[in-house]
Amino acid sequence: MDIMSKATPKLGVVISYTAIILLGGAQNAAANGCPVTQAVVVSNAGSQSAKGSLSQAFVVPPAYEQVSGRIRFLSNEWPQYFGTEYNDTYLARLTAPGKVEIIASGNVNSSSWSSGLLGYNGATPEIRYNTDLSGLVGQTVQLAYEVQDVGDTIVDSALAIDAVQVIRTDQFVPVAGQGGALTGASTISGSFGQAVKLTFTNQNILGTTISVKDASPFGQTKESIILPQQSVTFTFVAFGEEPMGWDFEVSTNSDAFVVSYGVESTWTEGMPQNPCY
Amino acid sequence: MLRLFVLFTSLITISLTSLQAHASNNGTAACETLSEPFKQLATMTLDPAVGNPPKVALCHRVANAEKHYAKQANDKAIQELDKYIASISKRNGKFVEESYAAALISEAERVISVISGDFEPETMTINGGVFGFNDKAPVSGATVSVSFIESGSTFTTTTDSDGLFSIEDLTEAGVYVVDVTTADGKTGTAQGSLLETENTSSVLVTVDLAGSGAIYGTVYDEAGFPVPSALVTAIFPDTDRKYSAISTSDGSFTLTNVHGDGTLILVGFNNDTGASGSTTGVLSSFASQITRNVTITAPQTVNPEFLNAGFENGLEGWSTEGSVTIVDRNLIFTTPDSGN
Repeated sequence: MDIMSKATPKLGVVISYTAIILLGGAQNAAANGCPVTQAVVVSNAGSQSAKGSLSQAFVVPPAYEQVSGRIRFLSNEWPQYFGTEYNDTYLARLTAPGKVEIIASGNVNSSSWSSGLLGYNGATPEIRYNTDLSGLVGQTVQLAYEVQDVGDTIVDSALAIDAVQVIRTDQFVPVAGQGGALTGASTISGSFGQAVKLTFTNQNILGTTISVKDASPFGQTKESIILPQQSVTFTFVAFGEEPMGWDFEVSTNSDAFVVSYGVESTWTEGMPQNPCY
Repeated sequence: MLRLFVLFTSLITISLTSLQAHASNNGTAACETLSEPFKQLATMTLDPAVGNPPKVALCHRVANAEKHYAKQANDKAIQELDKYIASISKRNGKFVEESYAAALISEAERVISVISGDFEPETMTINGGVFGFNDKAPVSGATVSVSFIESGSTFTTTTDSDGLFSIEDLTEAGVYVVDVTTADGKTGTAQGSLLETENTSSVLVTVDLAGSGAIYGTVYDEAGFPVPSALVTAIFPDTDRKYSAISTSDGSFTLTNVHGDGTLILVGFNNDTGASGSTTGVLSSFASQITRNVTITAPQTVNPEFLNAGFENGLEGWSTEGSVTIVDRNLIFTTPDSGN
């Protein structure tokens, strides 16, 4: 009974509320000369459907390098059912023949929560994701987002998905004055664009682990193994006006760590400011 | 008289249009079902990135090469492919984007090397590291087994003093599962993807004492048939533990040594088709063994490129299930990012 009382459908509220606000957002973007983009909310609302999903399959054109975006998990299971078996989940994945990558995953209990929006009791912070398409040119790729019920089909959750960005190879330019060698934990900082590509080459005769953390509040951490004289590239994406400040914390689990690195970005000194994201 | 003229020109226009369509269909049909080693080149030639002209002409070059090859007239097959390369080169980026033209030429050269017997497959490498689940410390001397899910090929090695391993000289690509066992009985699994176009793949595996739980099930396709050699990965978001296994010949799978970490997401995947699907479940100290079946589906609609990324045209180009609503992004995503 208590669960039923929490299960007030919010979708109608969402639709009417957003219909009013929609025009305002469009006008803001248009005023900056930026493309007018929207977001999508996928929910597991309704007792008949334990799953909501949004997906697109497409052939990867030449020079596509990355898709990136951000999501927020929304739920009515927070705060009352936090820590219980009523623990709805979300998942974002990229699949292609020969490749499967879990881009993001989580549930009510694994998430940190702040006050709700769109009629949901709670909302997570932004969760950024980006994934590499450069090795998949000519292949069919599917990008899918899902939210699923766990434990009940009564109390609803949702996944908010922002406009997806496609970053092409030719958008990256080398950043002059950046790059060098690292022999231990270090920080790489600078004013870059919305997408930053860090390439590390292992200059040691031993293999090493490497971890790079985007130090911003919603930043991602990326890890890899680099064998001697081999390279690894990490791409980070944020959403905001270009240029923007970035801090990357580089660390390793290995004793031997001698790497050189270079930086490419979608914005560098001399380029005009870009208000669109 | 005027009516007669209009009727006459209309008839000619209709005839020309249908002739054009017929010719176009015939042109692309010529290279739609080619066998190896021409299949990939034909697929790339049919890509929308190749304009028409020269798409149909290029398509015929590949189809002709295949016919010559089938009759063991290898010289003529190579001549056709040389003309294919010359045709792309002389356009210098016109009608075929430069980066894609380079990819077409590279693939044509690969086919020539296969026909001439000079082809040496480029070898690939999987690099990895094994670390403790709790302390993240490198684990040396661990036994590492890497299995490609589609072929079943398995490669075994051990980690070095830094917990790292490398499997080199691989000639097959695809999704693989890594199984690790340590000298003190800890286990761990992970999955990774090795793309032919990238030559290397990196994977991190964490190991822990074996859990007492197990997940059983079967992978099915959309028609309800069992799917053998499918990847199954269980994700426990509460602890970030992951477990992977490969379905057997009857589509069944078993994930063992699993910790009862609560809610799980089970993902199924077919390496050959890219079909995937997911379901959820709960594995706890109260229910340490569960059965969950996964149905995987291939995309029903494939766009020629990524469409409507900003939802500016509603949900056009996207597939949906359940409740899906367009919302002003400013209601939800309030940045510019405050942290940057």
